[in-house]
Amino acid sequence: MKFLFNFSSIIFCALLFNLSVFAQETTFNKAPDFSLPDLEDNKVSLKDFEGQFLVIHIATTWCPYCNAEAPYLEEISQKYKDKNVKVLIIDVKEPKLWVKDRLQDKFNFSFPILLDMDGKVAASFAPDDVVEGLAKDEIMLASNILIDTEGNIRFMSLLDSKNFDVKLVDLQQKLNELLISN
Amino acid sequence: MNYSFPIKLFILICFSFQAAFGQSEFVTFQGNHCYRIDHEELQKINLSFQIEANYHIQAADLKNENLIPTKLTFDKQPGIEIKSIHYPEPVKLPIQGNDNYWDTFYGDLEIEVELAVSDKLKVGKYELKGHLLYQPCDDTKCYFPRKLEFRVLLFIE
Repeated sequence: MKFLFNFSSIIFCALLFNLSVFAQETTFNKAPDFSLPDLEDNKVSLKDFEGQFLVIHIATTWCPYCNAEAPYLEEISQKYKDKNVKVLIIDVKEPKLWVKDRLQDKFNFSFPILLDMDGKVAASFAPDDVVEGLAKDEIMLASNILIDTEGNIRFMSLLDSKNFDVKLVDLQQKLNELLISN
Repeated sequence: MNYSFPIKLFILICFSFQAAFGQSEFVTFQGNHCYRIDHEELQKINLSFQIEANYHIQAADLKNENLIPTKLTFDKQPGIEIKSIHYPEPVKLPIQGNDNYWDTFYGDLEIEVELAVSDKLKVGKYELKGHLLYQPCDDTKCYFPRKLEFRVLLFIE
């Protein structure tokens, strides 16, 4: 009787542990909805990427990390284009012609650059309590975000990378994991 | 024993410390705010700035025209002409993952300013208002450009 009781307790605890782990693994933040114009004045929304993986880079033309990363973003766009992965840049608080000249014409991206003129979309991605004393759109500057096919944020460089990752190695690692399991 | 006052004082000090070192500014004006200069043609003053630990700002002369260089400017002061501004040599910060680097300043930043005082300017105290435009980054991200306002007193002899 005592043996049965102990055995049942062990099984019960193991079940509880597995349930709690399972619960942790399925908790992700939903990416905030957005709808922004691209450089051709077309409206582009998060909903347009439903069912696809989406890599978002939040940038400005003057941001050194954004400039360094730009060629590698294009590489990623080409590398994963047949794997249901899309890339886009959200440019913060800069005029269209300036962005066209300084980013699109300079780097010749094959993916859209969206214009977040008031910074609200960039700010909407900012996690709470990460860096005090800064505006939320500034917190997100030079960040890379990976959104899965269900609209969940699965990677954010601000939280998930220790240092600036010019070739987006960490993000690609996560993306590859998700592509395998998808 | 009543511990509430020391605890409150400790919290106040910590809050003040946090407020003083909040992340809204990354460069402070340091050192000498007053300079004695005379009516000689060219005078040199060295302005000292401190860039917060773990941050860097872009250098003054940049290869990439997209980036925002550090730039020192002054408001016009009659009788005092800024002849030239000399920035230090940049520190080449490697970009992890490729062979390129950035030209940056970090730590102590000393900028030499050459100025000329008109011989018509009377002996006395004059204020020069300066602005340092800079764009900071840390190891992970970059921040919007800032403009640091500061003043120096020139004692014309």
